[in-house]
Amino acid sequence: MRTTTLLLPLALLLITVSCGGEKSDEVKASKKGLDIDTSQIKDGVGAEMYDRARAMFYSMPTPMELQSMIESSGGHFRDDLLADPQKSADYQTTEQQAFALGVYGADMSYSTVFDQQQDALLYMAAAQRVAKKLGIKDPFGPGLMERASNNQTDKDSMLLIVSEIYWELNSQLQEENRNQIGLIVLAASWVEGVYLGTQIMHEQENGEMEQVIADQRFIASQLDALFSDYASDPFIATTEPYFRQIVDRYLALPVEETPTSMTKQNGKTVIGGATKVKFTKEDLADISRIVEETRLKIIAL
Amino acid sequence: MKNNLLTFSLLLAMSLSFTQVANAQCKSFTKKHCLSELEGYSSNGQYNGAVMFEGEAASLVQTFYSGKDYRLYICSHDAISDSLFYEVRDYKKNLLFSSKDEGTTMFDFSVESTQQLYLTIIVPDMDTANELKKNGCVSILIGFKEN
Repeated sequence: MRTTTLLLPLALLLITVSCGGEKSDEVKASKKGLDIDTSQIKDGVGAEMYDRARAMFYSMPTPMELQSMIESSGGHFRDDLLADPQKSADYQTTEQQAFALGVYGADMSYSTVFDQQQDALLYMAAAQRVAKKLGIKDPFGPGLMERASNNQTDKDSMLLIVSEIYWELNSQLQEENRNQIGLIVLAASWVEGVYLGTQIMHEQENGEMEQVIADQRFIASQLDALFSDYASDPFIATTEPYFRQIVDRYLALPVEETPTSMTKQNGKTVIGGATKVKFTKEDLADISRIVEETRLKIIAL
Repeated sequence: MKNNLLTFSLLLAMSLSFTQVANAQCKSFTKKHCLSELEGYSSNGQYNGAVMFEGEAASLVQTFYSGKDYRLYICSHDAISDSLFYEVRDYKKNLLFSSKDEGTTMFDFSVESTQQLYLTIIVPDMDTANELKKNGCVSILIGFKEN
């Protein structure tokens, strides 16, 4: 009876707050981030508001845009660079599985973007096997492989499926408060993407891909900020050192700043100026070497 | 002692459950009401959804690549959608876009060089009593395509 008396109001409170419309202080207090003076945000806000706003949202880069950039800057497909999907069953620890899921996910994206859908299916299956071990099921629901198999001649459909996989992956981990796993999956994915990009870059004569690789400095800075946010998490404390060298090497690249401009071109807003990552051939060679070493470490059994 | 432990366990379970329920609701809300707004663009695969209360602001930094057209769309629950607005700022926090000024929560743009933009989402305080403050799911959606 006493338990029921206690549970009933708790249940009612839970229902009330989760349905939207009202809130409780307890709920608000449980949310992450710093408190801000809400009297400051009735109308427009100043630039300082960005720094004071709550860190409710986490921008974890997915590999799809990078792969798309590699393609549009003249990249090509090399299946000999990809990880071995047959090893997916061999990764035993959570750490290894998170790394492997990231790497297989990037290889899946890369294969899809370059319209190598048979390979994409192989990596999708490998990612599914590893994800299952991590308790990640949402992205690989019933019928996913069949749907992908039926759509493998349609690149756009395959791209949609891959983006849905990432979306479901991120949302399930966020839903279960396992963002730290998501962070490491996407960090490993990023390493694989940069590894593929640098290997292909070396074969290019026009150097078109060099800026794409250098621009990954921005992603490195996002990862660096996320690693700081989760610094007290034991899983991040164990896994972050794998990425530290490549992140730091990127952060050493200077960024040139120019004033931002806004123009309308054919009804579309174009943001000009802003920032440009500067680099030398030596920087890129160094990044290429470090990312290859990092990648070897994260795919090792 | 036993009762205290039970109370603590229940409160802890309630707090965790709230987060999971709220997150699950936001995911479902985003799927049903928001994702279709990226039609014509490829979703970048990021899920960014959270419950926001009136009087709160949330921030995000995001990298955008040159050579792509982007659509940034902030989707929110009816309870807060009329008041919610967001701002996009450059690396020096100069204002580039305000949904309040433009009258839309959809921003289509491209960048000449790859860069990070700073996004702040604001649900203004409407001076409602603490116990009645409005809240709702807010999702940030980003789509891209070749330009």
